[in-house]
Amino acid sequence: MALGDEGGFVGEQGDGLGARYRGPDPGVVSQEFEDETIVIRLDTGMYYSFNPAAAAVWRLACAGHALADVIHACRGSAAAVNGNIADVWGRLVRAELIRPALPGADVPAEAPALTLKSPPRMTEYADMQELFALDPVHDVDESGWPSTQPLPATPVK
Amino acid sequence: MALHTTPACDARQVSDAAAERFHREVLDRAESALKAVPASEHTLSVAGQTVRLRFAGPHLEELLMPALEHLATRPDGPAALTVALFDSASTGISPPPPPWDPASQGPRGIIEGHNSPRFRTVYQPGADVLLLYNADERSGVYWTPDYRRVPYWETSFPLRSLFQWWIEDQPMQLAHAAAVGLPKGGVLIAGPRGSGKSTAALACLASDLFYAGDDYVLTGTSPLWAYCLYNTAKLTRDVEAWFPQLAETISNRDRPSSEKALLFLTRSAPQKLIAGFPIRALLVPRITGQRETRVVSCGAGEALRSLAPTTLFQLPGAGQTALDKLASLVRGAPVYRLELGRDLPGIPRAILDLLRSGEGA
Repeated sequence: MALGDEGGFVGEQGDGLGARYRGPDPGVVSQEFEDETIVIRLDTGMYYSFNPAAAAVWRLACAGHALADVIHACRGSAAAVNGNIADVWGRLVRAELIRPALPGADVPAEAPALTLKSPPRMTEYADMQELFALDPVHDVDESGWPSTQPLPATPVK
Repeated sequence: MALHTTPACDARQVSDAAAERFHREVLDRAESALKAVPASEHTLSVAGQTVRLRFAGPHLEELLMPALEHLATRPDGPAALTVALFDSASTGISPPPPPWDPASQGPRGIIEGHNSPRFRTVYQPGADVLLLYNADERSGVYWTPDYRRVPYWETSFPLRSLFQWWIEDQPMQLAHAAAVGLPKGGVLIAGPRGSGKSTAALACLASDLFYAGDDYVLTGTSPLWAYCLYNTAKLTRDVEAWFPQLAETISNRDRPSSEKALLFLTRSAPQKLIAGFPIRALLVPRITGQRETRVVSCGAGEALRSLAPTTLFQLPGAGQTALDKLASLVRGAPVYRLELGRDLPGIPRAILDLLRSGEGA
């Protein structure tokens, strides 16, 4: 099975299919609708849209199921649909929407069979990142406070 | 029986102790500033609750009050939120140096180790404004080194983070959206900078629709409600040319080219301001380049993508709870795409048609 693709998310050590993950840190918030799930990273300004199939894959990954488990659970789906699972999985890893499981973490029971109706699709949005471009660390003035704004020429009244 | 605490709990308590100590010290300095120069007090009615702002000296008051002056009310009864505001240049009083390492200042100005459910501490990047909020006492402090450094955009939505923290445990939420409507119902127009929400809101001034904001509005989530929190409007130079009737009342006519024109509706069009209305629909603006404005259906996901990231990224500390409230706005009202046409009168016409139709009203 072809894993990853652009950028090879896992598999460099040959353990990509079996690697387990957990949910993102608390700086990631999400909201699920019937036809779309929105995931927002509050620390980077990135946000993401999942179709229901990608949301299902994300949920299973967060619950500790390995990629191999998820592909197995989705074996009843059409081949064209299943082919996208590894791609989305890699993008979840790169976007840090799933993190490596902690050592000794419980292995979840077998993932329930899942029939995906369409290929998993994950869209990334970077249009808000400019809001995070401001460098929060600046020179400090004599009072010890950072200073980012130039002082106007007008005297203090 | 001894209480059992987890390490996580202990860490939070240590953090709270450091934050509490710093907040007390800054509040003491604020009180000194309020005594050092002539102070003034303003009482506001925000979503029916009393908010008290205590200014040390006239300068911050002159900068920050115009956006809020439509909320002025009689100083009766206890305040649900009290904020002390001072700057160092005009009062000679400074807060103690920050007790954190500069690297502790994270995205959105959040100071790591000084934020918890009880204490909020933010140093706003780009504005040089320190904001503190004590949830137990429902009090806040606003400090800046020099009132002359307060950027113009800060004067268009003053205290927005403090308001956000204050309402966090209430069925209300700040939304990065415009709001226009009639007393019996109106629309939220939700979108990031440049999406056309200000243009749409200002186009409605020449119609039967009233104005409740073009940038940030306070929303109630049960029932769905839009409150006019700021009476401001901001226009880019391009858009400014479309509204020549407003040119006379631009507050920053001598601004540098990087600044938008800033209007206070209490001065430009006070008859068009409305305190609030029930939210009947949520609109996602899109600039189409076509002549006509159209209202077409869109999905809940598209509506939340237009509303939530831009709101959350600009409100330090807003997280899952805020997202849940924004989602309740999307779930509670019909959502549409507002395809903005070049014909400005067509914009309020399309919104009024929606409100008067069975779907939107």
